[in-house]
Amino acid sequence: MDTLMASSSATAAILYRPPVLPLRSSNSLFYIGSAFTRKPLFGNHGAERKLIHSFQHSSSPSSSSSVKVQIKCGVTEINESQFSEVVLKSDRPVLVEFIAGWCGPCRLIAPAIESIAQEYEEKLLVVKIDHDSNPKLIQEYKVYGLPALILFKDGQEIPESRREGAITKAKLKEYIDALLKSGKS
Amino acid sequence: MRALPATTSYAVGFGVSSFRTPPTHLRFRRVITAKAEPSDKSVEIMRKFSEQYARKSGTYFCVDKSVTSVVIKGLADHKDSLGAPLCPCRHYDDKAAEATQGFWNCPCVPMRERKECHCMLFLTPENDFAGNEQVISMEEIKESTANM
Repeated sequence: MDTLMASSSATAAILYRPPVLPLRSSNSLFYIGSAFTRKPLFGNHGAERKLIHSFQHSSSPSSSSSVKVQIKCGVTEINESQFSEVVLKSDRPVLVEFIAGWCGPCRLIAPAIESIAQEYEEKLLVVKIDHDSNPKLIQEYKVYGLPALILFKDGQEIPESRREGAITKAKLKEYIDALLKSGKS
Repeated sequence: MRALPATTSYAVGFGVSSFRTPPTHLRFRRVITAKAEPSDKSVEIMRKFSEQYARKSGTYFCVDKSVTSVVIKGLADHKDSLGAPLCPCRHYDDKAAEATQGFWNCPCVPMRERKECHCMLFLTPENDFAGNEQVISMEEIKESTANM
């Protein structure tokens, strides 16, 4: 992708569509781009709007390293290096979805997972992990069939929570409710 | 390849739906989920194969054709990169070895033996998600995967 960015200025002039607001810092550049031009995938409107709001409220990147990760909106994609911090040390139970790029069922359940993430925002954190870029994690948790769902609580995997394959939204809600209830007792 | 504006990494009609905007602390790190498009030729081959195999096995495509399209593209992608259409809905420790071994080459052994396709490409009529079609056109594939 980077090589395409080195095209001539003439091409750039033709293809470049200037953002609506004047450019300031690189922070606002990202903000503008993501607010106005990105197309949502499979109806993620809610998640994207919320992401933008959270970006507005959050401060500059310098605060990122020391501040605990505040993932508040929809499903966040994470990788191996963040797994320990985000999943194992989370104060809420975490639903981890393992996905693959060209996996049909993963796309099919994406809206259901998204709406669960928003509905259960306070009680549950939902993250997704791409299998190709995180092989070590896959090997550790022995996840081979995708999509796969595992619920983590207090840094531990809940054994009965493993689920593989597509699932309807109703069944997904049942599954989550049952696991959250059993976790509390 | 799509023409890209020669500017920064934010999206201008870019269709970055392969990954959402990462949270702030990740924003300045390039998290690239590699998802190159498979070649049209491979997609066409896998499309024809899917139609033919659905007919042969008496199975049907998913009611939601975008699932079918995504899987066909996944098969095409593996065909391009590995020479064999490895099942796109699985993780492999060693893709090349798996492609040679063949258990998960589409049609995979579970499908051939028990008509079990967990990619939801070939669905038996009793399956809740099964539609009533055994055909899918290139336009349908392109349309449903256009925002990827």
